[in-house]
Amino acid sequence: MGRPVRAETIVLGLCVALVAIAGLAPIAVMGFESVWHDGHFSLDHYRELISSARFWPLFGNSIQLALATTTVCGLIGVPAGILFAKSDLSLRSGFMWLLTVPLVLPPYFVALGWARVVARIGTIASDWLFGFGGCVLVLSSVFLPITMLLTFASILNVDRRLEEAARLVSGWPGVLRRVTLPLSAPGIVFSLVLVFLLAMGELSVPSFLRYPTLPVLSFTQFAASYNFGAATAAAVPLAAIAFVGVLVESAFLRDRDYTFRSTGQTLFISLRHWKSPLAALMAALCFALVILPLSALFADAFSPAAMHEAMQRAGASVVRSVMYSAVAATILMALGFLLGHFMRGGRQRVLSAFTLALFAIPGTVLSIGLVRLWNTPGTWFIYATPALLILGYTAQYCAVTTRLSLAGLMLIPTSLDEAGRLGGAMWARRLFRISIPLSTRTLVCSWLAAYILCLRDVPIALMTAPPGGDPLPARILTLMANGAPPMIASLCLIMAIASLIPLVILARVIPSRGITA
Amino acid sequence: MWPRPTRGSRRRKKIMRKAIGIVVTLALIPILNSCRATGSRTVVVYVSEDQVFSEPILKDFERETAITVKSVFDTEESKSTGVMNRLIAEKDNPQADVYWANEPARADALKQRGVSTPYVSPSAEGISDQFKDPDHYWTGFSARARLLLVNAKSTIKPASVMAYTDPSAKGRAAIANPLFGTTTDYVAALFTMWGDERAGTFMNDMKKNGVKVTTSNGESADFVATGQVDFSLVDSDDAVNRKKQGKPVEIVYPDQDPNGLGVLILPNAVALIKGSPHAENGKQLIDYLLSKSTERKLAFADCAQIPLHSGVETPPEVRRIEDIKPMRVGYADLARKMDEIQPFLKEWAGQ
Repeated sequence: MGRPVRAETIVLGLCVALVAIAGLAPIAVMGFESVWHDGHFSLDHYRELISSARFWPLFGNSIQLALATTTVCGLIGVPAGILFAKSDLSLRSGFMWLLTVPLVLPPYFVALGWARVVARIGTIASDWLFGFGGCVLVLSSVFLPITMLLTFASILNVDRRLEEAARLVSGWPGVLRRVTLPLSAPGIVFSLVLVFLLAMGELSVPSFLRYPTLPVLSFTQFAASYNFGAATAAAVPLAAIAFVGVLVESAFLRDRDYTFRSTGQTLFISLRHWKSPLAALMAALCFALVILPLSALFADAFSPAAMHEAMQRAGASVVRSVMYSAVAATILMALGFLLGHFMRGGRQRVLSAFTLALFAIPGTVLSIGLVRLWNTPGTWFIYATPALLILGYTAQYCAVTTRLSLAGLMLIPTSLDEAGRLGGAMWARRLFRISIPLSTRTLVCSWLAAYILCLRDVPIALMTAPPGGDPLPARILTLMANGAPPMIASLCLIMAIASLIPLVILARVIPSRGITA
Repeated sequence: MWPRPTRGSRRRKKIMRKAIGIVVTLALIPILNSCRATGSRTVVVYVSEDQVFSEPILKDFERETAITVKSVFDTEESKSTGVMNRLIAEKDNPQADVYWANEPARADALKQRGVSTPYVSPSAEGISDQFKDPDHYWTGFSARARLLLVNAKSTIKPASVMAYTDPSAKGRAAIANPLFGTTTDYVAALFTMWGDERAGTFMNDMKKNGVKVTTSNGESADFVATGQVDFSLVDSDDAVNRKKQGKPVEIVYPDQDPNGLGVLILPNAVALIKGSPHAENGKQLIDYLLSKSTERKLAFADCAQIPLHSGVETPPEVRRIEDIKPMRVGYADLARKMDEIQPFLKEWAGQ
C-alpha cells in the first residue's frame, strides 16, 4: 500500500495548478506561437522584429524610461520613506497617504491631469509633457509610493537595539549610513527593482503621452493586427528583463525572510530647526505630484450634467469593476494565503520567483497569452465570460497577496502550529483554528491590496473583458476618444472614489506599525 | 487532546463560517455570470466607430427593441483595427453577430477572409450602390469626408490636395501618419485613382515640401487651429468639431471642380458575422443602423456624419451627400491597395 496523500499536498497541488493555468499556460502558448509558423519551427518573428528599424529605438526608449523613473523614485522615495519612518516630521502620516494616492488610481489618470494642466500653460509645456519628460514625471508620481512605502516598512523592521548601540559612537547620519540603510537594503532594492519592471511594462501612460515604447508596440501588434507571433516577439525582451529583475531580487533576498516585524518603539530623529523647512518641502511635493494634476483632472467633474452623463455611460461599468475586483481579490486572498503558508520557512522558492515573474510581466503580454489559450469553441465559458479577466488578475497579482500573507504568517510563532500537530490536529484544522484566526489583519490587507490593484488595472481589463462587460478603466480609455472632457473627468472621479475607499480602510487597518497586529 | 471550544473560539468559528460563505458566494458570481447569453434577446456587436458616438445609438436600439446589446469597442491605440482583427481571430469560434466598421475597407477585409455573410437590409434602399458591397457583405451608412482644414489667418487658400506640393506651402502643412487610419485610405485612393507612379511621386514631393507628420487627424486639426501649420487633410468630424469649438478655422471640400478628383467619402459599414450566435437579432440591429433616423442622429451628433440617404435633415455645418462631388473609388479596390502600398508607406514614414 502506498503512502496516503496528505490534504496539505492536495491543496498545494491545486494552488500551483491554478497559478499554472492562469499564468504559466498562457505564457507557454505565446512562446510556442512565436516560434511556430505555418506548421514548422521558425524564428521569423524575432528576426523581423530585431531587423525592423523601430525595435532598437523602442527598446532603448523603454530602458531609458524605466531607468529614469527608478532613479527619480529612488532619489525622492527613499529619503521620504526614511523621514516618515524615523523622524518627528509634522503631518508625516498625512503626507505619506497623500503621496500614495496616485498608486491606487489607473496610471493614465495622472497623465490626463497633467494634460489638463499644460493645456492652460501653452504649447512649450505641452511639447515637454507629450514625450520622455512627461512620461518620467507621471510614472514617478505613480510608482513613488512603492519605494516610499517599502523603505518605510524596511526601516521600521530595523532592530532599535542596533541603532541605540550605534548612536553611542556616532551621530544620526553615521547610524543611517552604516546601520539603518544597510539593514533595510533588501526592501529598498526590491522596491527599486519593482519600479523598474513596472515602468518597463507600463502601457497606458506612454501610449497616452505618445512616447513609443516596447509595450505600446506589443499592444499595437496585438490589437491592431492580432498578430500573436509578432506581439509575442515584441514582448519577449520585456519578459526577459522581468526575469532578470526576479533574479536580482532573489539574489538580494537570498536566505533573508522579508517581514514587517515590529521591534518595539522606533528610535526617532529629532529634526529640530529642519522640521518646518522639510514639512514645507513635503507639502510642495504633495502639491506638485498629487494635488495639482488630480485637481486639474477633477476640476470639471462636479457639474451635475457631467456626473449624470458619466453615470449613464458607465454606471454599469462601475458596478462591474467593483464586482470583478472583489471576486478576484477574494480568490487572490485565499490563493496568496495558502501559497504563503506553504512558502513559510523558505520553502517553494521557485514558486515564489515564478509568481513574482508573473507580476513583473506586462499585463498586455499576459492578456495576449490568455486570449490565445482560451479562444476555442470548447472553452467559451472562460473566453466569453469574466472568468478570463479574473484569471488574468489572479496570475498578475498573486505575488502581492502571497508576499503579504507570507510576511504576516512569519509573525505567528511556529510553536503554535507544532503544539496543534502534537495535539493530533490535522493540517486543515490547524489552518482554520490557528493560522487564519491569527491572520485576520493580514487577510484584510491582502484583500484590500488585491482589490485596489485589480480595480486600477488597465491592460488586462482592456484586452480580456467579455462583450458588454468592460470594467471602468477600460471604458474610460475607450470613451476618451472624442468624449467630452467634463464627462471623462466625472468618470475619473467615480473611479478615484471607488479606489480611495479601500485605501482609507487600509490606512485605518495599518496605523503605523505594519500589516500585522 | 484538542481543547474544548471556548466562547471566543465559537464566535471566531461563526465569523469564519460567515466569511467562507461570502467567499464562496463571491467566487460563484463569475461562474453564474459565465452562463453565456445565448437567449433570443441579445445581440453582440463589435464596434470600430468611436464609443462616444456609437453607444447612444446602440442604447436607443436596446430601448426600442428590448434586445440587449453587448458591445466591444476599439481603442484609439489600436487605430480602430483591433476589433476587426479580433473578429478574424475568432473566425472559427464567432462571438459577435454584427461588426460596425468605421470605414468600408475593414468590412471588406472581413468579406475577403470569410468572416462575414451577405445580408440585404430593407433599410439600405435609397443608399447609392457606390456605398454598398456588390455581393451584400456590407452596407455603408453615415459617412465622414476627407476635408482640408485651413487656418483662417493663413494666406494659403488651398482648393485641392495638390496644395501639399506647392512651394508656397513648404513646411506649412500637416498630415496624419499615413500608416494608420483614414489617411491610409486617402493615400490608397490616390494610388487607385492616379496609378502607383503619379501617386508615389506626389507623396514624395509632399515629403520634400516639408509636410509635418502627426500622430492622428485630431492632432493635425489642433495644429491648424493653433496656427502651427496653415492647413491639413483631416476627417470631417475633426474639422466640424474645431469649428464648433470656435477655433479660427475654415473647412474646404477639396477638388470639387468638374475635372477634380472629388472628396473621399468614408462611410461607416455594417456586416453580419458568419455563424453568429444571434443572427436574427443581428439583422434587426443592421436594419436599425441603416435607417434614416440613425443617419439623422449621427449627423446631429458631435461626429457630424454625412447621411447617405438623400433628403435626411442635417445641421448647417454638415453638407448633404447630394451637394458633394465624391471620389469615384471602389472600396474593395481601396482595401486591396491599402495592403499593397504598406511597404511604400512604411518607407515613407521611416518605419
